[in-house]
Amino acid sequence: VTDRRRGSLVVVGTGISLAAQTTLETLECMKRAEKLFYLVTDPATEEWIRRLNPSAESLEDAYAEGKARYRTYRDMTARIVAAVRSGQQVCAAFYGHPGVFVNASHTAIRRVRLLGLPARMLPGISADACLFADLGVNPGDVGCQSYEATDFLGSRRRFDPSSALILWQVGVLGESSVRKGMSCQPERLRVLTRYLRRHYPARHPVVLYEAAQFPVCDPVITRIPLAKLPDATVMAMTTLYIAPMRSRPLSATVSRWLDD
Amino acid sequence: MGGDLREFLVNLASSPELMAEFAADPAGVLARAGLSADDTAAVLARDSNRLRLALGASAADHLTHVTIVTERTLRKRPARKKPAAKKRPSKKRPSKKRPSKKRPSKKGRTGTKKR
Repeated sequence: VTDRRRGSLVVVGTGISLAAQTTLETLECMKRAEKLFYLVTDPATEEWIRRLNPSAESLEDAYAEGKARYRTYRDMTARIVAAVRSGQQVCAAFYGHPGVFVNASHTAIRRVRLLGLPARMLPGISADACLFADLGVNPGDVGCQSYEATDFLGSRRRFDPSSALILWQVGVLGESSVRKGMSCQPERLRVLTRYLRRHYPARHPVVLYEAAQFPVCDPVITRIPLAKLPDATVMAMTTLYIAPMRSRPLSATVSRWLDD
Repeated sequence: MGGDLREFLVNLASSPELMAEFAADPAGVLARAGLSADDTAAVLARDSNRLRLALGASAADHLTHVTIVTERTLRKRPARKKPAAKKRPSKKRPSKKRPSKKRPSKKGRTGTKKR
């Protein structure tokens, strides 16, 4: 018999690097869950999670080549919500931050709450958090804009080149499914570069960034001029960072406030 | 072996003491772990992608977000059809035949001219 009052959901993030970036609060939730679902990127992290909680079950089998990713995420959500409905204390752990570029986590929380059951999300360490640390970028200096690459290009997002720009998932630009060893198709990379060239000069520096996934590893940081971007291999996990152009002058009004 | 490498990495990540030891003497810690030459080389390369391959990580990329382009396109509004060009009533104004301002012929004028 379903015990609707007892079921609950907490969605957590394991960070990018194996075990080291998991908060104490997240760790406790993962250990205590009656049912732990997880989605991580490597077998070592899987091993670590299974040691934490024997109920751990991977969501990876929801992926399939050629299957639309939104269907994959819908299936993941359905599994998580079904376990909550069955009355279990469920924890769903995703790599990175569970609310940053994770469709299934947000949807699962909304659906569980619609059932009148408690659901919450704990913050985690995302790829951009690692990027700020590794590239020495302070988003407070001139601001930082963050877009999913397909959305950025498809919706022709209006942005401010005098502020930093982060484009996620360039490696899967315009891809709706998954393939083995995905990387951005060269002609799509050329289209993205052309769009960016409207706002930045050819020599403008961009960084292809991948956070370290293991404590023994270094991040991958490749600095190239924007014009060379079409020649680069941009993998699915690569994040594109575009440095800000020259800052805009401060408005006279705000300048006066600061002088006071 | 993948299994040994997996265990080694989990132990390393879970133990600050072992991590400190590894930072000071990576070769010594790796030798003690008894990893294969390939796995040892993968760890020493400090390259996440190489390590993932050595671990036998699935080649499928574990993306967790998709721009809802798919749903948008599925729900795409039916393409606006240009309204069929209405046949406007021709702008030709009905030719109003202005009453011809026939001037009286010179003849007449002259004829009426009273001299």
